[in-house]
Formats: sequence, structure tokens, C-alpha cells
Amino acid sequence: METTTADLDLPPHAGLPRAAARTVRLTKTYGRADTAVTALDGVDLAFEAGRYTAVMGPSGSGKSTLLHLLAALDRPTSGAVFLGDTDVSSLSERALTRLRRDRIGFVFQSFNLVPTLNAVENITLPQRLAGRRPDRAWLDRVVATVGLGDRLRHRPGELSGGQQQRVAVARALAGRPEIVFADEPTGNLDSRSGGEVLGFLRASVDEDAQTVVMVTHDPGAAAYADRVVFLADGRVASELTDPTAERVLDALKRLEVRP
Amino acid sequence: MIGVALANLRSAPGRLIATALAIVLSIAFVTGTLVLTDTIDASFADAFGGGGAADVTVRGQAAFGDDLERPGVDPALAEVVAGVDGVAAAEARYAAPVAFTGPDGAAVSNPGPPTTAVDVPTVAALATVELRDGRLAAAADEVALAAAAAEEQGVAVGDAVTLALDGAARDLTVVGTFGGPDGAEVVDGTTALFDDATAVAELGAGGAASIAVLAADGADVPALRDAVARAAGDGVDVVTGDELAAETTAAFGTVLDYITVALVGFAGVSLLVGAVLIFNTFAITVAQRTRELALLRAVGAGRGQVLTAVLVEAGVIGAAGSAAGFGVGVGLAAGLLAVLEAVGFPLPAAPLQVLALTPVVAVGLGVAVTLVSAVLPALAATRVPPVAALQAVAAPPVRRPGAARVLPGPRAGARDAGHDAVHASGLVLLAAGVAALAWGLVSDPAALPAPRLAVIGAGALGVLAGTGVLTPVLVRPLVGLLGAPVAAARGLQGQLARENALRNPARTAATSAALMIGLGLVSFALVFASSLRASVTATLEEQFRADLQVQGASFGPPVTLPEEVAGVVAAVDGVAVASVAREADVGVDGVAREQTPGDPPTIAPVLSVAVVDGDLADLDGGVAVASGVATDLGLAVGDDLPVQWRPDADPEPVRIVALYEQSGLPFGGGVGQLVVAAERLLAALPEVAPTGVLVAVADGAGVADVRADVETALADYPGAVVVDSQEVLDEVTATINQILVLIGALLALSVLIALFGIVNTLSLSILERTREIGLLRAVGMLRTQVRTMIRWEAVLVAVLGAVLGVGIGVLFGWILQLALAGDGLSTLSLPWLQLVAAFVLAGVAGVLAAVVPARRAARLDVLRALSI
Repeated sequence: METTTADLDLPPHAGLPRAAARTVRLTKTYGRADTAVTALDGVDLAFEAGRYTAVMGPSGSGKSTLLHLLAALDRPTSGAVFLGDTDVSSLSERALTRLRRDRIGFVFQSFNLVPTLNAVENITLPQRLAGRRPDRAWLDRVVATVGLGDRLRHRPGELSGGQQQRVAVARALAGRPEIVFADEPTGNLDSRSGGEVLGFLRASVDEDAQTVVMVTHDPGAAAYADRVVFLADGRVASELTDPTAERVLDALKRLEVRP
Repeated sequence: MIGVALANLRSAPGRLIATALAIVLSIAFVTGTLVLTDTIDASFADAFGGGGAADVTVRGQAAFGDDLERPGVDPALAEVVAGVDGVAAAEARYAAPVAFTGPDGAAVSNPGPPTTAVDVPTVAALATVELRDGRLAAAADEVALAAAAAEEQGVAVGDAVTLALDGAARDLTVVGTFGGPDGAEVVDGTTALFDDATAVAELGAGGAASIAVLAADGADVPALRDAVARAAGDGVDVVTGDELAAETTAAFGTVLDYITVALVGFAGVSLLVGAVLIFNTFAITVAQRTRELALLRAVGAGRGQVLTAVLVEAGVIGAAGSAAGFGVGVGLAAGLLAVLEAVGFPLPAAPLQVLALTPVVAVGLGVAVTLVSAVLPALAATRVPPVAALQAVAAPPVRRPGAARVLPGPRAGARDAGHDAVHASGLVLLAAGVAALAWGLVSDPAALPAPRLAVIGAGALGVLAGTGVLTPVLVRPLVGLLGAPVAAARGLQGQLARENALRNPARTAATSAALMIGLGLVSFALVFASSLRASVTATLEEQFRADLQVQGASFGPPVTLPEEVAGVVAAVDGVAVASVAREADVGVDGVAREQTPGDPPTIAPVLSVAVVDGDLADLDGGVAVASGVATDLGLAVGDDLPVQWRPDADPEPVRIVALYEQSGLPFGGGVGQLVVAAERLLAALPEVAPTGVLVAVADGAGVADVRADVETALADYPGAVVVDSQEVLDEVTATINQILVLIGALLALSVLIALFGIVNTLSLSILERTREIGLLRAVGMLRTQVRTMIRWEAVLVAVLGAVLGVGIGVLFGWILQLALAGDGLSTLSLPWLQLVAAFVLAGVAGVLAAVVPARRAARLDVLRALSI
């Protein structure tokens, strides 16, 4: 199924399942006055709870900016970001940090881990920053899922790239966050390791109703998602549900030929 | 490539500032230390080495090499000498110790060079002072004072002043003030000038102090000296001005040597600290640029070209930073001197000594260290294949010895081999140092190829250098240990602080080295001072049983008391024993032997002498000898000791009646090497005046009451001061404290520099870890938690320096105490409170050092940090 931006121009909540996160007229510009660049231009998007959403688009489309704003790593120029019912854009710096710690999970493209901490310490990092004891049973399950059992006491420098990303996924899931954001999580991995990482994210959605939002430029990665949102020039260009790699590729081609 | 280098300087201001700051600080420290040490050195040399204006001086013959005490000269010799060919003028000069009196009429003891009253020379060319205000004294009740002394006493021209002169008080009117030549202060202790006639009457009791001779123009001074010596005849000593100056300096040689060695040590330490700081900074900044250098290589620059670029850049920064550092250093030294003066510890003489060599050493060192520091890491960087270095370089890998490395390349192996060689050399240094220490401490001094202290000092240096080289190895266990409570108390932030301090042991070691060296010297000085005080206390308690002591008011050579003082004291109610102390040097076997207090019938209640053979009560006309002296001479009780009472007299056999263990006060004082009954001494040397009266208070009488009575009885003798053993101790303590303040000033400088060293290294480390901090912030580390993490890292580095420094300092203090145990430093005392304070200080320094870097890290923009 394919829809256009016009179909999405609806009031928030209207006709959609509960949104784990949504944006309202979200706009971000960089620089000032005459040299200003608009990265996001009034984007309204909702990310349903318990679904796996991929965000795609050419370079400069604003997909990374969208992810950063959703993940409370940056503040919008105008508009708002809601995480659940919390208006993220109204929060103080301290509250934002707590929000990231307690309600959000992250998987970055690279350099996900603190080199001085071992795997399990990296996995439990957010909980320990919060001064909480990790849920042992849940932790064991996450660790077992990503298959790190015998590597838990190793430091990142002693792990392969694929193993490092698995630790990152485990960290993102260990705190049972409301939403997990992944920024090109397979960008630095070979296809097998990448497939494993995407599989773990998929499994977390299927088995534990985790909400995942992932930015990627790889149609194969996007095919793991339930829904793909395409951005172009800071706006939502189109969208796809139940994607396959071929359909994503087609959609991307159509984006490129658009005037 | 030079263009690239200069472009670099312009384009990376942050890194440039950090590097330049490190150089400025280091060179400022080196310059400050050099200027301070030169100034202190010069002021001491001036204070003790004033040669006077005379070309040739005729003086009394020294008794057995004691240059400070000489008999007077017959003033009539001046006329005889004046007749010698080539003599333009000859004049008898008079001098005597003088002291100001306090409000209670007693003389004020004055720490510093001995103060003297002299006459005004009639021959203008012989004058060593210049009039500042008023006029010179012309009558018996007039006096001119040194301007600085007058200011200190709060008297001006026209005021009345009371001076204690040779034990008697004199009321005088100040008619003028004077200073040294060319506007300087008087540095040789000359405090009061009398007119010639008064000086002859007041200062000339023992004859003239000397005959000052002015050579005619063009006269050959050494020849003139010989001619004068022939004319003056036997019984006097004739020296040239240069010889006199050299001799006076030599007389205080040991003091000056100690001071000079200590100061040179500080200067050396400052060079080391400065070099470490600069090297450290470059190790980080050039490592950060590995990628950039690799890019240059990838686009076709040769290794030589890359190195040239780095060298040019380093040379420019080095020269500019060093020049600025030199300026800052001179300012620092001037500031510290001002602070010293403000808190009441003025140096004897003040003009700031900036020697011509200082800027050469400072800037030369700055540039040289900068070049070496920049080239070594750059060389390592150019060895990395360009392709490898161009790949994403995040934070440097964490090296964990023992753990398996993912990518064990040949490079890692080569580097480990290099490290092993360095560690081996550290072990060799340490072992050699320990061996030299043990050798110096244990073996017979005579069997050593060099003076004992030199061997021990070399050993200590070896231990220090070895520890410095080995510190990176010590970092892991020590920081692991110190960090354990931090990790326990501060949770994840504490754990990260510890891990960050551990991630580059060499850098942590180098950063803490500055503090280690500074605090090492502080604690060494503290242990030494504390042990000195404890030893003095122990000796005083053990030996000086006297409740009170009457002594001449002065610092330096003992001042004699009028003969009748003993009788006055003895007559006071409540005085049980008043034992007169007389000191003289006599010759035994051609060597000067100090002979001390002793009137055996009265000595026992006031002075404890540890007799090992014979009995002091049998002394009579005989002599008691220190057992060490007797052993050297192969003599025992019952043998005759050949005593040469005067240099020109034949030895006279004196029966040895007792041997005793000599355990004097540290660095002189206490019981000498011979004890002779007063009667016997005075029969041979009638002119030996009392140097003190040791008083035992009668049972039942209050010491304080008796003291007040004694002071009242001595009202007419302002030169006589009554002290109790606590005051003797206080005096020693005051001297020690003064030395500690000087050391403290230099060390304040080194701790300050160490602090900035931590700030600088920490800032650069944080720059290096920007991305990691971004990640931590992204996954939920609060700003306060970032600050906590960095603060504790700084505290750990600082406390590491304190642990090593205090450890080494205490060890060295203990070694010095062992080495000097025979010289009176008999007790080891550890000043726990101050040592603990050193740790607290280090911790506080760490917290302070972390303020700026921690704030900067906490304020990092998360997204920008993540995208670096």
C-alpha cells in the first residue's frame, strides 16, 4: 500500500493506533537569516507503539535530523516532539537527559560503546547512570537473545564490529525503553553481522512489542521494518507498509526522479 | 610544508593555546626558580661574604682555624704599616657586636647575620657605607644607624635609642642613617657607626678589630701584602681583600653549600617538571593529529617533509611560548619575594637576580624540549601506514596488559619491546640507587670514594629517577587501589574516573610526576625539619638539665658576657647552681678541638655528660675527652693528652681523667670534644670570657619567679638574655621554620605548575574523548555526572602524585636522618599531620584542576560530540 503526504495531513491521533512518538509541524533550520538551511520543514509523523519503522531518504533529506529531534538529542526550531504524552521540546536539559536515559534506547552507526567498560557494563550503563539495579532476568534474556553469553566480560576493543553492535542493541533493549532509535545500525557491518543486528531489532518488536525507529539508506535493512517513511527536502515524501527490498528500491527511485 | 605548518598554527587555536600554555607555564617555572635561587644565593653570599673596601687587612691570628673569633690588633701597628712602600693609607678599624634593646631593656635577638657597631674610617676610600640622611656621629652620645635597621626599629634622625654594646646599655641619639654603596642596603651586618674616638673607647677593649690598608695606585696587592706582613711582625695575619672575601665565604661555605645544592636541586626539578609538562602536551596533540599527518602522507608528502612541518610548528610555538614564559617567570619570582617580605620573611638582600644566562637557559630549554617533544610522537605517527591512520580514529585503544588483543600487529610488539627496555632501565636505576644508598649508609665513610653525603645523594637521585621511569608500571596497581573506594562511593562515574586515569598509564604517570616531585621535596623537608626538632628536643631534655640559661643576645658566633654576670646570677635567691660556660678552641694533635662548658663541680646539675670511663668529679687539673677523639688518638684514661692552648704555644700534656659519649645538638652546640675545669682553662687562657651561665633552680623555688628575679638582677646588662629550654627549642624551631618557608615558596611554585599541568592534560584528554563523552551524554549521563567523573579522575591523578611523592619524601627523610644520626639528627619524627595535609592538598588541587575541564566536558553539545 502506498499513500501520499496529503493522506497523512491529519490531526494527531486521528485513526491511528497509540503513538509511541509523534511530531507536530516539526521544523529545524540551521544557520541564520540568509544562509539558513531548512533540514526539516513542518513534519507531522506518528510512530505507532510496537511497530518497527524505517526512515529513508537521500542525503540531506532530513532523516538524521528527524531522528536526533525524536531522540531528544537536539531541539526543534519550531513545532513539537511528543514521546508518549510528554512534550519533549518543553523539557529542560536535565529532564531531556533523564528522558534519554530512562525512556529511550540508542543504537548508533559506530562508536556505540564506552571503551573502558566491558560488555555487560556497557549494556547496563543507562540503568547504572540512573542508580538502578538492572532487572536480572530481563538482562539475561536480552543477553541470551543477542548471543553474547561468553563475551560479557570483554571490553569493546576485544570484540569484533558485529559483536560490538550486538552489545549496543542489548544496551538499547536492556532498559525496556518506550522506544529504540537506531541510526544506520548496520552501516559499518558486513551483511551477515548486519542481518543479525536487524534480526534482533525485529525480534524485539515481534516478541516484546518494542517500538523501533531506524534511519537507514539500505533497502535491505528497511525491509525488516513494518513501515518505511521516505523523506525528501525536509518533508515526508511517501510511505510504505510491509516493505520488501524491491519495493523500497522502487520507492527510492521514484523519489530521485521527482522534480 | 612550512606553509602547512604555519597554516596549522592559525587553524587550530584550541590545541595551539593548550600547547603554548604548557610551554609558558613550564618555562615560567624554570625561570622563576632560577631567578629565585640566584637571588637567594646572592643574598646569602652578600650577607656572609662582604669583603670590605681595604686592599690589604691586618688582623689577629685565628685560634685553630676559627675565623670568626680572632684576638684584636694593636692599633699602633697602623702607623708601622702606613710606612710600608706602596701603602697609601692604613687605619685601625674597630668593631664589636651590638644589639638593639627591647621595651623591657633586654637586648633583642636578631636572626640574620651578626650585627656589628664600627667606627667611621677617616680615610674616605675605606668606607663601605654611604650616608642616607643626617650626618655621621661626632660625639660620644651620638650614633648613625643602618637605614634598614632604623626603619625596622621605628627610629629616625633625632630620636633617642638604646644599644646593648658588649653587654652594657648605652643611651644614644640618632644623628644619621646610612646604607651600602650605590643605594643598596647594608648587607654585612654593619648596624651602628660611632665616631672614631668613641669607637676606640667603646669598641676597642681588645684592641682594634683590624688594620685596613689602602694600596697606592698601581701597587701590586699580593706583594704589598707580603711587605705589610714583614713590617707587622709575628702574631698577626695579613690578607688581601680578595682573600678575605673568599675566606669569609668559605667560613659559611657549609651553609652556602647546603643552600646552593638545595637550590640547584630545585632548579633541576623545575627543568624536569617543565620538560614533562611540555612532552606530555605534545604527546597528546601530535597523537590527535595522526590522521591529519597520515593524510599529508597519503597525498604525497614524504616523512621528512611531515617531520619538517611538525618541527617548524614546534619551533615557532616553542620560541614564542618560552619567551613569554621567561617574562612570566621573572614576574612570578618578584611576586613570591614580595609575598615572602609581606608575611615577614624578607630575604637578607633584595635586588632580583636575573643573570644573563637565565633567559638563555630558559628559552633554549623551552625550544629544545618542545622540538624533542613534538618530534618523537610525530616520528611515531609517520611510521603508521597512511591507509591505516586514515581509517576512523576514535579514542585511542585501551591497552590492557594481559588481556588478548584483537589485532596483534607487529607494531604492538615493537612498542612493547621498547617499553620493556625503558622499564628495565628504570629497574637498573632503582637498583643502583638503592645500592648506592645502602653503601653510603652502611660502610665506613673512610672507605667511600666520595663524601658520604654525596654517595647517599647520588643514591637518592637514582631512586628518584628510577621511580620516575617506573611510574607507568606503578600507575595500574596504585590507581586501581586508590580508585576502588572512589568506584564504590561514586558508582559508575567513579568507576569511569578510575578507568580513564588508567587508560593511558604513561600519560597519567607524567601528569602526576610534577606533583610527585613537588610533594616529594615538601615531605622530605617536612620529615627533616620534624626530625631535627625532635632530635633537638630529645637532646635538650636529655642533656640540658639547666632550668634557665643566661646567654649573649645574638645569632651566629657566641657573644661573650661580662665576667661579673655569673656572680650576679649566683647571688639571686632561688638559684641553686650557676655554672659558667666558657668556650675556646685549643689544639690537639694539630687539629682544632672545641672545648666546652665546664666547671665540673657545678656542671652535673645543669648538663648531663654521658661518662663512659673515669669520673668527671676527678677532673681537677685534668681533662675529659670525647671517646671518639680518644679512640682516634689511641689514648685512654690515665694517658696524657697533648694540648696546645695557643697556636704559637708548645703542646702541654694534660692527664685524661674521663671519657664521655659526645652527643651534641644537630649542627653544633652542646658538649664539645674536651671538657676542662674552668681554673685550668683560665690559667692557660685568661682572656676566655663566659659565653653563658647555666642555672639550676633550687628545690621549691618557681622557675618563673627565679627567672624574673634573674632578669631584674641583670637589668644593667642588656646584652645578657635569660632563656629557658623551651625558648632554646623555639629558637631552633624558628630557624627551621624560616628555612621551610623558603622551601615552601619554591614548592608553591612547583605545585602551582603541577596543577596547571593536570588542567592542561585533562583538557586535552577530554578533547580526545569528546565522542565518548557525547555517547555517555546521549545514553543519559547528566551534566553533574560528567563533572563528577572528570573531577574524580583529576583527584586520582593528583593523589597518585601525592602517594608517590610523600612515599619518596618520607623515605629520603628517613635516609637522611640515618645518614646524619651521628651528627645529632638522632631521632626520626614523621609529621603525620602535615603529611596527611599533603594528601588533602593534592585532593583539593585535583578538584580545582578539574573545574574548567569538567565544565567544558559537561557543556559539550551532544550531537556535535557524537559526530566528531
